[in-house]
Amino acid sequence: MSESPDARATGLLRRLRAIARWPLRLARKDGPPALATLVCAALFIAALCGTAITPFSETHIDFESVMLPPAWEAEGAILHPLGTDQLGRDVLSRLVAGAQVSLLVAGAAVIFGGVLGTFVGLIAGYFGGVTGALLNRLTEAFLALPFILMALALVSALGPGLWNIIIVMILTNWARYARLVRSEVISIKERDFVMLARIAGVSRVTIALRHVLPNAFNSVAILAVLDVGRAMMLESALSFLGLGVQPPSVSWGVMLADAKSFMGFAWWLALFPGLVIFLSVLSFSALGDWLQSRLDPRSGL
Amino acid sequence: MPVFLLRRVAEAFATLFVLTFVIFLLARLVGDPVPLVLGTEATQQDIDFYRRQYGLDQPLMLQYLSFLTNVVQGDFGVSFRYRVSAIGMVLPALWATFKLTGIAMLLSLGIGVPLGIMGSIRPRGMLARAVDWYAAAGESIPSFWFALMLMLVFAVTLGVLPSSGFGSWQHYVLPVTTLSLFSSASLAALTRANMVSALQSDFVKMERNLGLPESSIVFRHALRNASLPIITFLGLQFGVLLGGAVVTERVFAWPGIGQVMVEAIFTRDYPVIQAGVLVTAFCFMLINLLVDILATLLDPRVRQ
Amino acid sequence: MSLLSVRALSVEFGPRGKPVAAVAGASFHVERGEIVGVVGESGSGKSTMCSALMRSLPDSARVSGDVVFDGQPLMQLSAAQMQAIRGRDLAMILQNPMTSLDPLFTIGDQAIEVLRLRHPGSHAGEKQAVELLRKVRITAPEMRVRQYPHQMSGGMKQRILTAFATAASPKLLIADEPTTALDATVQEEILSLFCEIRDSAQTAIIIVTHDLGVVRRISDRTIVMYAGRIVESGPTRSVFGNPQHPYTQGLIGSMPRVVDGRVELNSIPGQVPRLDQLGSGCAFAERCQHATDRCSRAMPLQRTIGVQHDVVCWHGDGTPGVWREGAAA
Repeated sequence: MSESPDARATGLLRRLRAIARWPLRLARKDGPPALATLVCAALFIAALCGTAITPFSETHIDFESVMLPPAWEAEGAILHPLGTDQLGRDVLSRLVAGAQVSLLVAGAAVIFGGVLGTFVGLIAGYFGGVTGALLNRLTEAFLALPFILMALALVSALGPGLWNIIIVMILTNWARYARLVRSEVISIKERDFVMLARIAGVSRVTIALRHVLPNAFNSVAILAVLDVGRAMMLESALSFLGLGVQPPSVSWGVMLADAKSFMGFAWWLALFPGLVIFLSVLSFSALGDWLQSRLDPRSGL
Repeated sequence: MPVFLLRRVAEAFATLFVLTFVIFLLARLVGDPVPLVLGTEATQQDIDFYRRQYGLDQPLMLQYLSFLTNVVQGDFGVSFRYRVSAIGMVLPALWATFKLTGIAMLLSLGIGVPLGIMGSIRPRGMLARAVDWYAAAGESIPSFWFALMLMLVFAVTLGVLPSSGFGSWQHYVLPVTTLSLFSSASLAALTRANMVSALQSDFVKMERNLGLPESSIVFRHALRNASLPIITFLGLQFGVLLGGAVVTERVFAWPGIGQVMVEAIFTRDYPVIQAGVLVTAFCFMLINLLVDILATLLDPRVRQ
Repeated sequence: MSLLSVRALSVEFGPRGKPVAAVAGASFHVERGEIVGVVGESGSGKSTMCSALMRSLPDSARVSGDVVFDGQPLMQLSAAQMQAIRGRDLAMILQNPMTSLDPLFTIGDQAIEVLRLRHPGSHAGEKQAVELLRKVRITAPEMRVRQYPHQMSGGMKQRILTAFATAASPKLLIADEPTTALDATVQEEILSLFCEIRDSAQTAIIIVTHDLGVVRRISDRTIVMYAGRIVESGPTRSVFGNPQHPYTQGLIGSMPRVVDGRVELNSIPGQVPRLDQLGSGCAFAERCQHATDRCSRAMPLQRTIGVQHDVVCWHGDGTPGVWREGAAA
């Protein structure tokens, strides 16, 4: 009971995730969940190729095809399978372009935030001392506040925009990795092989980097995969508020914000971007849970 | 009061303190707000006068100190845009948000905890599976999308509920439903996990061997043991709800802190941003502290 | 008629095609007021057997065999009937006294709950709770009833659990490793407590343990289990004085002894086989120095070689000393 509430909650959330049974599974029992893998693969392809693979670019305005419903509706057109918006821009193409932004932001947040957080956690956990204590204080302080407050505060200073959002995401995200790595490192450094390396005279830095860190990798990987989904959700929330990616750049959140004005007669503008966010987050979560069940013996699965 | 609680209080204050400094820095370092406020026709004289009046020509540390003393007294300055007290804009908005999140929290407890308990009695049954899916969906659905969908169905298509505004109880329904979805999903999954764990513990096995009735075991013993972590979780959940509230308010035009802050960001209205962030952070930490104290009081192992 | 009569009790887990028998064909009996010690290593099936008697195994376990308790066919009772018996006539205390009490309720609250269950309508209160604790010789019970489990030592908790289990003077008490988690001095107190319970209420006790010393100390009869089967059973004096099964001999031989000022520690060579890899013959064959071909091929039949002294071995014939350790075949 002397853990911080966040530590307790994280442990519990880990447990609750571990218990969730995903209905999407391959025939091969140990394989990754089928649908989730498919969705993630589709996302990566979309992100890599962008609008090169769609008939239209995301900014292509066509006043001849304004407000077309999806292809299966009466006034829909095959060329615009998911419809068009108020400027005649193709929804599907914009979704693909949005995938680029989402994965870019989420990827940057996870990779840079993860690397930063891991090193902070490594130093705090392995070298300890006053530096370690200070870093720990800093980490806990960052974790103590809700994301939204920090994000708003940072955006107010930096202003909206794609790169600023990436910075905001990195700054609000690194602490989770720091805390995880720190606790992992603390338990790893008590293990025999670390003691042996010390006795053998290996330098502390080498031990930290070559022996301790790789052992913490599993937990970090699991967190990272789960984090991608979370980061995508947060980025779209910020963009929805208008604080993220700015027009004419496309993000799923921005598409949703635009859709709000046309709710009455263009339901497809609101449905599809949100659906894509939902599927993406769900898929990354499923993959993360699968990874956890494979890599983490403590998850109880 | 136990030592570690005092530590928690100290930590909370330390974090708030650091936060005030960070907020202060952010606002000052990013740019000169004066030309923004005075407009493009301001002369250098006007700018200097304004600077002097607001103490913006003083060294940074002095500015910070005066800022801090003001903050502690509740004075956050005046909104650049509306010329009214910043705190005066923030507090009513925060109250409106609290009403929303408070009701949502209660609703989530009322839905999530029973679902979690039901899902734990037969851990492999249909209900447990359903709770798991509900939890998974609840965490992955973007709240703003859900809000839009709700609005689409109930306000636009069916027309039974208002799509925006504030006033009657009907205005509460859609925003509260949106917020409760995620909260209740998380609570259901958490409750289920903790209940299953409690029901597998040694003392439950012992009670079964003693012949204690199952209802007593589940609702008196297992539930009480499972609820301690849940109570702590509620504190954090409030932070999540706050985030959800910000976007939900945007969708339903609910005059809460989210709306005020987002608008303030767009207009670079720093006093309001500062007031909003700091006051909200303070409330958040206070609630978490209270929740932690409550959890401590309920656990005899910790109170001495 | 015996208080408890068990015939061919088996507990199987796993897929039906390839079942793993945690307990196979166990047959024994317990008389009123008798203390029976069940001895075996971890994995010998002794705890599973006891859980089977309490019918508290998970649904995935398949239990077969005949169990008659106090004249009733235990395995055929409904859940409600079983619930009525549990705690009242048939009680069990588990391995971990440290974690077997609800940490959020005072001892008094939990005692009152048990007492009200045993004597419905009696409005048992703190006074009765204090009396219950006094019965198991807990000092300062008035103070203890207001305390929480974490404030008590392991020995005290074990007494409290014993008190709860025996609150209604059950006919049979099953104690699973009651002394394993306790210090040696405390062990002795708990064992004395068991003797008192038997003496005062004629409660029969089954003590499950891997500690031969405990068994020798208080049990009237001893049952030895190996890999899910009972290999030897009989009056304690007879089993310890004239062990017939090589495993029993090995166990007794491995009790630490001081010979000529030196501490001797012997062990049985080899390891307990995995339950899913057992053959058709005697499970102990591969570790037994007297094993023959027949031992590995065919499961030995139970043989009575003394007064109520049974052994399941092709070679045990009651002759004392023939199969002592190191003797020629």
